[in-house]
Amino acid sequence: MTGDESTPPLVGPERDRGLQAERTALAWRRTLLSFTAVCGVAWQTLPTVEGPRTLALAAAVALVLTPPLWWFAKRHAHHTHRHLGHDEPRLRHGFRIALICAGTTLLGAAGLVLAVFF
Amino acid sequence: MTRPLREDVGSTRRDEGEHVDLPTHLPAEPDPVVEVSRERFPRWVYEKGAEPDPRFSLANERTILAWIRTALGLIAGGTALEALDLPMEPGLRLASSIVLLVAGALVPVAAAVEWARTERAMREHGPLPGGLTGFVLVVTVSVVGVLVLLALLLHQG
Repeated sequence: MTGDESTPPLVGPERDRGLQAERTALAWRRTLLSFTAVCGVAWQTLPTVEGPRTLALAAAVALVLTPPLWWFAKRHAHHTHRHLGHDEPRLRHGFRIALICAGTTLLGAAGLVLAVFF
Repeated sequence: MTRPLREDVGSTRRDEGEHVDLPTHLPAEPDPVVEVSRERFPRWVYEKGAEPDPRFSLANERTILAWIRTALGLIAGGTALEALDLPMEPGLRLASSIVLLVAGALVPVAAAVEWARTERAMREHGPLPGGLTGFVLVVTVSVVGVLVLLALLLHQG
């Protein structure tokens, strides 16, 4: 046994996909769950700090954003699953990754503004 | 001018009555090879090299998502330190909060750069880049740990 015969091919439709699409979809869900949880905690705790009106409004806006984000993640998972079935999959995830990174950076910057100025 | 490949194949079938076996696993859109370099972002990642095994690209994607969750944790911690009015020395508590929030804003940027560099290295079959994001996190957690400890000790004293 050389091992070559039993090794599944890396390219082609017969490639063993394993649970890659599912694992990635779950990673997106975990990330969005964290985002929703942070928004929920902010909704509960921030109104007790000074400047309640502005802070509660910011938390409300973030909470309103969560359903579209979950829908976005669902579409993304569907895209991944569909492309993995192709002969030569070409994943186009760069823009979505840039978007979620930019969103998190903005959230951090917003928190910084709140911590320093309120 | 040039027409899409799929349309050409269709006309051949109609004109000559010749049976052509179209691959059923290809997408319904025009051939991705033609448009892929324009549609994929960022271009500096995708313009060179060969397509890597998609399983490795997805692993790279899960890594950056883990960094995003870490950043969210840093942001939540930084906000909570100030919002919950914990019994700590106020100046050091504010400093800890600022360090956490700055790191929470920087980690996604560093992770995005690392994701792009890793993806490009995999396309060019080169060595993977070092962990820039991990370095940011190590420095942040160490500094915040010392600051929080000092803030607690000074408040007790």
